[in-house]
Amino acid sequence: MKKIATIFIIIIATGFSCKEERNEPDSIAYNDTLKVIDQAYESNSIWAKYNYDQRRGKRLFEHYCSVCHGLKGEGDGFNSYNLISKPHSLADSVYMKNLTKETLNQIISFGGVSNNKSNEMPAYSYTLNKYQIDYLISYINTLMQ
Amino acid sequence: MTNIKKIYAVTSILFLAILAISPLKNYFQEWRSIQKNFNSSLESYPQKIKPVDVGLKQIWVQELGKIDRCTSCHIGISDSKLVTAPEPFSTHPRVFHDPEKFGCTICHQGQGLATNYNDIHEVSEFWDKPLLPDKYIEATCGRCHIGQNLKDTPNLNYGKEIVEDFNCVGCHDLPGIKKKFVPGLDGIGSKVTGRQWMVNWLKNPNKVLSKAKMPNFLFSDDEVNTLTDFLMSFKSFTGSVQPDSIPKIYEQRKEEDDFINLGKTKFREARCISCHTVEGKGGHLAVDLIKVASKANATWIYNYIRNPKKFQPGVAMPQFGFSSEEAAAITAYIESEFVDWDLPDEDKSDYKHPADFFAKGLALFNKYNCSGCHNLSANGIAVNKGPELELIGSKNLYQIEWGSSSITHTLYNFLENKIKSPRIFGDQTRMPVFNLSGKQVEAITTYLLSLQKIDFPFNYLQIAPPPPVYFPKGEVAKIINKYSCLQCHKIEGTGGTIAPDLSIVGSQLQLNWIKKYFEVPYSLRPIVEERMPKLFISNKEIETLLNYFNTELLDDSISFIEETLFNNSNIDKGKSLYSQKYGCQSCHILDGKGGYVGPPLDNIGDRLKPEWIFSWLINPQKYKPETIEPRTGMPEKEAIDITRYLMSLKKEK
Repeated sequence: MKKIATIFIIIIATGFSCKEERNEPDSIAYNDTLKVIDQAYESNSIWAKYNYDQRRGKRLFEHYCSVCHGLKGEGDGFNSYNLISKPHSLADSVYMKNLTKETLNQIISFGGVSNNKSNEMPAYSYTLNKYQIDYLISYINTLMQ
Repeated sequence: MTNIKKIYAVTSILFLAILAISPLKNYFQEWRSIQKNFNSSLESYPQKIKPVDVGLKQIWVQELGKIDRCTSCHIGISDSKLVTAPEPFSTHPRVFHDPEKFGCTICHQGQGLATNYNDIHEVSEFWDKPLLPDKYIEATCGRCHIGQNLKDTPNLNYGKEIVEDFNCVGCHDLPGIKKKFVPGLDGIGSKVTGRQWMVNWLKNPNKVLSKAKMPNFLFSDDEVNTLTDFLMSFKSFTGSVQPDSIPKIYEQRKEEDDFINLGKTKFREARCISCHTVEGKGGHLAVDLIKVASKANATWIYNYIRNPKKFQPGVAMPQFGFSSEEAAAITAYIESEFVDWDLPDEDKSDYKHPADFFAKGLALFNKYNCSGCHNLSANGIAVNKGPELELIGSKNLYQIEWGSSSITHTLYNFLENKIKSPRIFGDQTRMPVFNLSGKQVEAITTYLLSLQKIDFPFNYLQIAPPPPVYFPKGEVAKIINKYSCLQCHKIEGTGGTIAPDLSIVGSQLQLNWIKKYFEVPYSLRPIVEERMPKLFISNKEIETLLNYFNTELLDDSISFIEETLFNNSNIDKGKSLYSQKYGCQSCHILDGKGGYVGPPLDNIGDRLKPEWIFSWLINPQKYKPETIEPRTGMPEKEAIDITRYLMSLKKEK
């Protein structure tokens, strides 16, 4: 009878130990090298670098802004050379720190003139909605070096 | 007490103990401590936030049959005060659907009911749809939004575009993808200069032309030779069209510099490099011409320049209005310049066809489903497609053949690796290697993942209406087809996106200007690489087109603006608004000053109609949603002044 009891206990105990193991990550074959390559690719890709808002901002920036401000915001877009006042680099952290979120919003919405800057920067408040302008600002803030 | 009673007592106690363990386990669940952590960290936030009741939270979306418990830990998902909170408490970015109404797994996939970190976030072979990595997230947008090409799913749209571009439908069934034009192979034996070119091409098309669309089938040398023999035996063109013989002047003068230079001039004048690449420069719409003289023989090139649609009905190239002498001169120019000097001379003496090359070649042609892309009129051609991909996004993991690869078993890993290196899951598979970048592979995977079974109510489906089909009639249709206008221009929803939409061109442009433009087309936008080619179009055809533009391609809301509106306005005020208030010169060139994002405005008064300038100034996005020109919200009075000013900019006053 004792034997039956111990067997019973063992069965229950194994049942528990099995259950504990399920908490470990599933042991599916991982290829370490492949994983390293994937990680290297991912760290360069926009998915790892930017969050959702920044990614949307990036798309808007590339579409509307990059012709003058440059793809990296360094003020070197192809059209920047035709402007009377060349756009300031948005990657310049000293310059950008003095621009609060509100100021940036004002410049994008109402143009450069609204902040005593060049009238060559147009106003976007009729083209972009307030959320899109927020996305743009969150992306512009990642350009700083 | 008897023994049996003792055992009974012991087992009862054991059972009780076991029963007590499960509530204990529940009590020590991870999410409880996460919720408690959250409650104890509330003071660190600037705003006052209510503590959360400790307990399992879930979003139940009855219609979709989804129960998602993610909110047990992701507490702040719909609380905008928690934007800056650390994960997992922060607010969900503002998306198009309210997570409270749609749940989480409808977009992110994963096991919504699970309450354990690993079950939810890690890949498991027991769950076919694990949490989708961010890079593929647009796939789930495409589940409901079918064919809509939303502007916030660029990755998904790009994937679809590539799938169409590489003609994946040649071998795989895919919903809503049109088959692309691929040159037919009839008469290939009369077109190609010799065996050597074909052998090189079949071995690795990318080695011959770096931007070749045709993938590499990884043929063995034997297979390459058999297929070459097979293809080179096709000497007659589709519908037994006979090529015109090349004019005598070609043979007489093909080595004279004058003649070659005439060809070169015409080649430049017609702006062939708008579509064709030559020496690394030029467009990517058509094939790279750099080695074309080593590929096709002079007679074929001459005939093709005269009328490309003769051999390849449906080809994008327009039929230029060259005379036979001009076409011969261009042929001479091509023959003298675009030669592959590395191609070894053909050694004709040694090679003999094996006796059974035709049967073997046909078998190979069928095995690799060459007819999926290329037309070939021969008996015994069979369709031998690859797997259907209409519901590939719902494929179960156990249905996938993994071969000996050691890749984490998920559908997205399978698709990505299959596209990147198709033979990785076994040597017997037939799929060729495409020349794709990492970004393109990612986009195609996203698109394929979006092709899922519809396992939700149909009222959630958003299907794009079929695009309007534009049917010009009569003479106009012939001209539009002859010059392939719709390859670049769009008219009423049909056509390419390279050049401006012509749907309302009659309301936009002055007819005199269009007439001159046909004669000497120039580039309006210097930054656009593709230029309007000079088509050598006849005057009669121009008249027909102009008449058509002016009667059919109109926008009534523009045409009804009366011209007298602009009489009573102030040019000087318009000028100062142009340069001072709106800073138009940052994008438009005028008198040599200004940017070149938009078209130059010199002599704009000769080109555009005033009603159009006015309408465009008021709301550019109405006519061209993706334009960079911002809507300025200018009052009508100012728009009238600027229009008057711009209309005053004429060559002849």
